[in-house]
Amino acid sequence: MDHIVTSNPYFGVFVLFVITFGAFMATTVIARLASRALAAKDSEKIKLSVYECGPEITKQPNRVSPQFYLFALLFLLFDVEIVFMFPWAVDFKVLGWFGFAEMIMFILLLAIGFVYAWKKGALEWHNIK
Amino acid sequence: MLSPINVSMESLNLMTLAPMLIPVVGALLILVIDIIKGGLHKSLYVVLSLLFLAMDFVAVADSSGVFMANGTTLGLFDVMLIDGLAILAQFIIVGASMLFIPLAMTHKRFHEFSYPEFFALFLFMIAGFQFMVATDNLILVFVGLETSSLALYTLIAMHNRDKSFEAAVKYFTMGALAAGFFSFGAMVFYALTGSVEINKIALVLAANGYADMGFVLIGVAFFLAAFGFKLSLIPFHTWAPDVYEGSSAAMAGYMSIVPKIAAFVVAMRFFEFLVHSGIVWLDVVLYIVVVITMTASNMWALVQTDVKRMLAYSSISHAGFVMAAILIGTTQANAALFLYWILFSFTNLGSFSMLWVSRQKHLPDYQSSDHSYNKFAGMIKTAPIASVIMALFMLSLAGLPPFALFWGKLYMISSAVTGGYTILALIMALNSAIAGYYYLKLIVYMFMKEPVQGNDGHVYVANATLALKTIIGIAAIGTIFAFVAINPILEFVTAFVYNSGY
Repeated sequence: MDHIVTSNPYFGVFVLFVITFGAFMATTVIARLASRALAAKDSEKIKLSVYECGPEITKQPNRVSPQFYLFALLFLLFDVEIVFMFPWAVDFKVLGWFGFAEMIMFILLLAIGFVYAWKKGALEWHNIK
Repeated sequence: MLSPINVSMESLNLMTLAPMLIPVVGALLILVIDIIKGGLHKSLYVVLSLLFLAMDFVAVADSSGVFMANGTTLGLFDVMLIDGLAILAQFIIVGASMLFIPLAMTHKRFHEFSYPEFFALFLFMIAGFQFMVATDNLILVFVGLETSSLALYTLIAMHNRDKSFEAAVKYFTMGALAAGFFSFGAMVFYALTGSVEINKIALVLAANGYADMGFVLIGVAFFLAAFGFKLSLIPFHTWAPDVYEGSSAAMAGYMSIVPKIAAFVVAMRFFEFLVHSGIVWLDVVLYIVVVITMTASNMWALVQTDVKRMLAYSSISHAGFVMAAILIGTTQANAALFLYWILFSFTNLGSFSMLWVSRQKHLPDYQSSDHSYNKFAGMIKTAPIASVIMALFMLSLAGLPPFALFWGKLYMISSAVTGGYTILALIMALNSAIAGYYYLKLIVYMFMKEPVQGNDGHVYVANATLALKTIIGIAAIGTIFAFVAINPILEFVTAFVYNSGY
């Protein structure tokens, strides 16, 4: 491989990107193959039929618990916090006291939000007040 | 190795942030109080919100003193811009919010006020509006717009009726579209000029003589759509009547004032240099939008059977009326805009509060909707004082002298005449006459019809408490005695608008 390409500071990011993408695809494919191979298949007709008296039932649309959205939101909160903290930590000395105060403010505001979510029971499954 | 960055605190000028930080701190305090000790009565949160809004008002008054002494100030890496427009708009925003908050002290129990989050979101929303007006950086405008809009959608949905959810979802979809248009317009101008600050955009565009006219027009079209949604200008008004009907009457009155003044200020900053740049196309489009918004919404208001929907269409018409100031673009017109909106906030908040006081939980048989006209039939016989106050607000909205909005309309139309828009002035005057019809229709119902069987007049004050009566009293006094304060307000407003160069 050419020297100039590998010395680029973003080359590592590119490699990580490729590996992540590959790993993601591989994981999903492996999971599907494994479950197909391991699951007990029992395709008796009477078992697959819908149990319902009277009219033909229609398939319910797939329902997703709103709890997932709350978890996604909370995950996003801390995800963004960490993403913001990495470059800050790298340039900590350059940013000086001003950067330190800014980050303390940032963490404090998020901490209030976190404690709020915690006290409201957002971290417990099916127990929102 | 890079040398450490030194940011001097003086250059940040943190005082420019103070008016926005006060409501944010208040909102966080309310959340923390709720975490530590839940289940407190709403009156505590009402008083806390009022306290922080009063502090906010003092901070804005302080920055107006700084403006009078030193002129426009910049702060926080020159992102904040505290000029006359920002200060005037913040006065209106915080003042109207202080009039709104006591309306939560209703006699009946309503779902939304039992949550402290209502008050926290309300204060966050005010901070968002303040950020929106106190900058000419399009990114900060966008952040303020989103902060305030997302809080507002939630506040509407918290009213917890089927129509409220419908209103919130409609407002959210339309608002999201508007936010998308806004950011797309900002992107076009950033691509053209390499800056997101409105004054730099104006400088660069003037320097190259509007060479890329096509792209400027695309950007302006996006911005016009975005502001059209926020100001409910026709043809972007479709959400407004449904949203006003779905939200509580107090919230609807608030929505007709505060979000619009914030959008007016941003529109004024943005369209002013374009109007003066001599692009004929923009003048024509603004002219058509203003005339259609005034006239068509008046026509729709004529045929409404519900007073709240009528007031919704009337406030669209008022927004179109005031949008004419941005088309005219003179200092006099811009000052008239602020004068009009100060007077309008008293009158409109007062009339929506009258509907809020008469809010029922269950509809009787003779009513098809919450505030149908026949609910108010014969109101003078059963609730004389309330009906006189309601009539007062209607006369003011119609623009009859000597009530508040007469002066607003007078200065707006005279600025149109001196600005050379004689035909526009004529259309504005004609529209005021048409609007008189549907305001007087309510007065005819209240004063000349017989009460509906089974209506003993209790309904008109069903929700009244001392706090609500006080707010209506303040609004009524502001409406009746406006003529005393017109000259000082106009001088104050004109000085602020002129000294910030608009």
